[in-house]
Amino acid sequence: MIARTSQSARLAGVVAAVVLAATLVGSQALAGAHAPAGGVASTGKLVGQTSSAYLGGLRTFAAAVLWNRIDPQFHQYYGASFDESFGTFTPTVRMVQALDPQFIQAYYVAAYWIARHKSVPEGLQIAEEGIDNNPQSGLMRANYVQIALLAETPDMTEIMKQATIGIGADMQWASHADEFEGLGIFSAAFNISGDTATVAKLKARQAALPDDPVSPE
Amino acid sequence: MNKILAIAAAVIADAVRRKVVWIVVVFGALLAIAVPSLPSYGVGVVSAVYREVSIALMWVAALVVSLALSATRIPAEVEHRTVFNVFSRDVRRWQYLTGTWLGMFAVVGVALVAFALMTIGIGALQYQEFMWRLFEAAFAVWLEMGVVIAFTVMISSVMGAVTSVVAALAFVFVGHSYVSLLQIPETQRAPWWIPGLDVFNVINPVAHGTGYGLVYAASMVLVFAGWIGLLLLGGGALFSRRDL
Repeated sequence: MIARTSQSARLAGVVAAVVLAATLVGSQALAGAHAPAGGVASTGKLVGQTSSAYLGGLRTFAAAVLWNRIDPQFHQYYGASFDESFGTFTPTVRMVQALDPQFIQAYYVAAYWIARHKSVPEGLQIAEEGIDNNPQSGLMRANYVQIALLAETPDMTEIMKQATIGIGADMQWASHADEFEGLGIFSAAFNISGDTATVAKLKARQAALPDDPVSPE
Repeated sequence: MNKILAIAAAVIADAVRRKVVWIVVVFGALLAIAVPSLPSYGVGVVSAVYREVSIALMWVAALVVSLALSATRIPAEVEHRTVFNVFSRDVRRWQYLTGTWLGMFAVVGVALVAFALMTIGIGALQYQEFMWRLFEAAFAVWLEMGVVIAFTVMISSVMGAVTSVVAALAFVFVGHSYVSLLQIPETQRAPWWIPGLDVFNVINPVAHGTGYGLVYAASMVLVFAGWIGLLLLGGGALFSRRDL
């Protein structure tokens, strides 16, 4: 009698485990189907290999703190020349990129400096990384175009591809100042390719931007 | 059920005795230190960054409380032999585990409500905006902590406190990062057929979007129920075989 009771308890346990496992995976499917637009866990997908998903906010915070420290250090101790001194900060800037892959200014500044003082291919690599992590950023497309134009034999096909994406309506700009600068870079590329009509349109877009340099669109 | 509730009440009373409430003060201090130095990005301080940092702090604080409570109680009770007082009153081992889990889950829930209220209050002072949506994040974090507590209770029923903490941290890490570990492309959703914890990660919609819907909330609760059931079942099976 005791053996039979123990056997039926074990069977009930197994049945319960199967039902619970089915509930778990079934409701994961339900959650996936009803996840808010953009998903709920892209942070986890992006940084899961190195840290737990929930630490995303703290990483962003750490990146911002590092970035904010660069500014006074640069101006108070090294401010004589961006060209000569900025290399001191590239390890910190790299860390900012690793901590917060959406921190576009870190790619924008580092790619240009590396391209000018080390090598254009390396600068281009940083610019590509910036695009991969921020595909909707207009400034990252402009960054790529700017660096690629520094090459001895610029790849005009790729440059025009990025410039065409960069002037698209779905691109995002952190500020009017960024947009003004980006449109100027795209204009240079279209100018080189001989597309004067697009250059004129871009100049008009630049002129139509509000005077306020920092507000996003 | 009365036995389970009685054990849960004892766990809650013990947490109060151990002055767990102080973690709320520590959490508030962390927030107060963090807020003034939040990034401006040159375009004004973004309240979304505040929400993201707050949720991360909430999660870390809740994880520390959960692990501190759940990894130590059963090993200590077994070591001090106080567990025999419980079993001498006709309490089954699975009831003891379930009551222990329930008490800890309730303590973490109360702490999270306090964290969320504090976060909303500081956010309102700093940004003149009541971010009630942070309760959605607190709810998701609470459910995840329930799973973490159940896992730690299961492991601590047969292992020591240190081993339980390490195992729980590994569980949390793998539960959130298996998509990357399996090298599944970022464009794809996490496979629904692999049990994970990413369903509870609602940082993006809460910090940057408009939150999540009722159906999603219900599916989170179901995932939670599945995890809890399985882990407590496993814990009960392991603990029942343990020679005390």
